[in-house]
Amino acid sequence: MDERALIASAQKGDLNAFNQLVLAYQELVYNVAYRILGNEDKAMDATQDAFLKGFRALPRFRGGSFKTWILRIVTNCAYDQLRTMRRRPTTPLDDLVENEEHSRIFEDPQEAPDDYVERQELNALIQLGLQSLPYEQRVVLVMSDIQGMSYEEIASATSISLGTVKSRLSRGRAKLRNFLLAHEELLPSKYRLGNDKR
Amino acid sequence: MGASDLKFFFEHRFTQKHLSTYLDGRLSPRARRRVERHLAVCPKCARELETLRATVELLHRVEPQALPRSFLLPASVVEEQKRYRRLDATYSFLQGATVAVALLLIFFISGDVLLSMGFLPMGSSSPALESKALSPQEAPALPQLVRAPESSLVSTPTVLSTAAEPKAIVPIRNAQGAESLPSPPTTVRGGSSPLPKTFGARPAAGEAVSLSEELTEARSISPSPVHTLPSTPMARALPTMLITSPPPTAQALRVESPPSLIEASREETLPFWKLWGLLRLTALVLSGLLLMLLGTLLWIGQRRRL
Repeated sequence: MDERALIASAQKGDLNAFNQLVLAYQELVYNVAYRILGNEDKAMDATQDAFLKGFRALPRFRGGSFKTWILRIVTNCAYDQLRTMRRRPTTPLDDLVENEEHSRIFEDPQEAPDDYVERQELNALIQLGLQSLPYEQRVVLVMSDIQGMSYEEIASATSISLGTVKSRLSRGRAKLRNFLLAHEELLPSKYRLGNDKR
Repeated sequence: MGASDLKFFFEHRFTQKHLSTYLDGRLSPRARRRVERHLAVCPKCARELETLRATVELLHRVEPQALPRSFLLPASVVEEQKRYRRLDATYSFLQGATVAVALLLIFFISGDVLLSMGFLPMGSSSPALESKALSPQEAPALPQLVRAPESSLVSTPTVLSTAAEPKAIVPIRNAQGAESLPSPPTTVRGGSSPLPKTFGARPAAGEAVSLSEELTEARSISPSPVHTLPSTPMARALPTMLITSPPPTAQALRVESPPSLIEASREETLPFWKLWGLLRLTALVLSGLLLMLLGTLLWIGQRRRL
């Protein structure tokens, strides 16, 4: 069944049809939420809220791209979560023990432990860099450079103009570059910016 | 700073601004050539481009997070969707109602403003008032209004005052010098001294004076005494009634004092003030309703927000 038919069925209240859409988009939606929030639990909450709101509001969906529509919802949900986090900052205990008890070092048996550590360090530093950006620039950067979305898709998902997408992306990239340059010692040597030029 | 330096400065700023878009290959051919020309001569920009490219490549390397769990929705949300569908319908209805109330409010406020500025025709001689004054239901309110015989000389001017002001009843002397008490007023057909009809919004002060003069003149020729009538619409309409009595003879009666006539003119402005107050009251009620509707819309809008 194609996406349009699934949306049409879901608009009439067919939950199975909507759940097929959830299966198709849940990874993308969750990853956007996670990169914006930098917190697994909050990202899960934002993702669940987004699909719930999406199903409730589906009768109001007037065509277009379901992907950008659901991404718009999840960015709003992520923003709500972010405001909650700012009002009530918490340090979940799960995060403290997760890396020790649920290490993903064994997820890829062929990967050398050093490579895994470097990859984790890189992810952690990039996540830190993303958190240092203003929310609007972070959303655009995540959608463009991590999720690989086009300018047009980002403009549609964030309800801003193409020019604003370009300027936010430009400023976001520049800030992230400056952050990585400032914390270059934390980057694994092979990932350092402009390493070969020095 | 020379011209070449100035040009370099502007090109440098342009390139810095568009490096990110250039990296994505989304610049126009002309802008792209301009950036490339500058990159060839500016090592700082070239280095920034390289670091920017490296940053974007790093971001591309970020691996997707594995899903911690499935986000499939439970069956209970189907009822929620139905509830939200009803909420949407309510929201649409309230939107329409808000627009309607806002338009009504604008209409009433405009009416109020126009009335205050005198653009709307209002006054004792308005057709509505006349028809009201002559309605059969109100005729019994003036049992004394009788038709005098044709032989009567003069028309009886109307003297208007409220029933609550009995002091307005003033005995006056007739032509023979005899003082008489109030008696029912009479209207007489015939004659050619019609009282002025007033058109327009509010009777102006000058109008009121003119009416007073006319009434005074008419009264001066009247042999009948001046009377007080109850304050009814009929009474207010009386000055506009056609009086067809013969031309007045001079030195008829002592002239009635003007205050009662001024009250008469004040009586004529009452419909204007009543309508004005009604407009204000309606606008006030509509404003309250509009505020309530906007509040409800805001509340529902928050619940509907994606």
